[in-house]
Amino acid sequence: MSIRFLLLLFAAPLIGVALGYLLGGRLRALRGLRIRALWLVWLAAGVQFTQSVAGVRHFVEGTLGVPMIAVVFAIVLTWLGLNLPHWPRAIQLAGAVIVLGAALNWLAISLNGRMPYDPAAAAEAGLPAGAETPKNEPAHDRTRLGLLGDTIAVRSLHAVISPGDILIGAGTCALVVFAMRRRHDAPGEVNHELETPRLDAPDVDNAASHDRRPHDRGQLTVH
Amino acid sequence: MKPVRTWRRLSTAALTLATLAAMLYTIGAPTPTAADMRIRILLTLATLATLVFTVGAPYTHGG
Repeated sequence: MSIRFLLLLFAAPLIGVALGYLLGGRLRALRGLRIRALWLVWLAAGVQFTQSVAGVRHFVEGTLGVPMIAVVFAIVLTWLGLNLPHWPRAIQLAGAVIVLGAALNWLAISLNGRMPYDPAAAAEAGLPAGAETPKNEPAHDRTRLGLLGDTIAVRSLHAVISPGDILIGAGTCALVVFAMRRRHDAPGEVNHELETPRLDAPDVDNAASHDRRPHDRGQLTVH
Repeated sequence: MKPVRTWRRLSTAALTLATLAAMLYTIGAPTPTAADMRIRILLTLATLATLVFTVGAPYTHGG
């Protein structure tokens, strides 16, 4: 794993942090974003990583007949399904964009076996144009839905990315921005400051403002 | 394998495991401290980067 690849992975969250600050957000707001079943993400990353091990890949896909990419996407979608319903609406939308990007990538990979890349774009990015990796292969005449493959050259990072990758990056970036900008008492977070009473709260001595009973209490309703 | 290399590898592995254990322990801490909060923030960002790694499919030869 090269430094450029790490930069590619962390680019979206870090751009999100920078944008979040520019838009008035604070990094500390991220602390309350409750993440459930975190181990699923690490499990998916582990399965993804073992794809590059030829023996493991051959055993799982050849002997067991299970596509490893399907396992990875199933784990990630399960994790998103566990977390998205509990997050605020804006963050749910960002998560939906990530899911859409992942689905586009999955579609291209499942139709072709590996993620096809445009050899011309690879050459433009300074990469070998005909090489095969555990996850990528050059596009050819029989490639299906080649537009969803890696067709966009990113010269600075020596990478070729797909429309799905752009959606995943944009969704991740937006998720960080929305998480940094949300209020502290927004739903879907663990707020440990609630136990401390606000001394500067308006109308703190006004008993009527604390009454949460319905306005028609004790009255007979005539229909 | 030289003993020094073995020791370095073992100490690196132990440090990594201890860091991960500390991260996992702090996730469910009822009264988090400032250090816990920093770890949570870093963990959230690392989780998102891992998410990009798992479902993203860029072509980076040797990546």
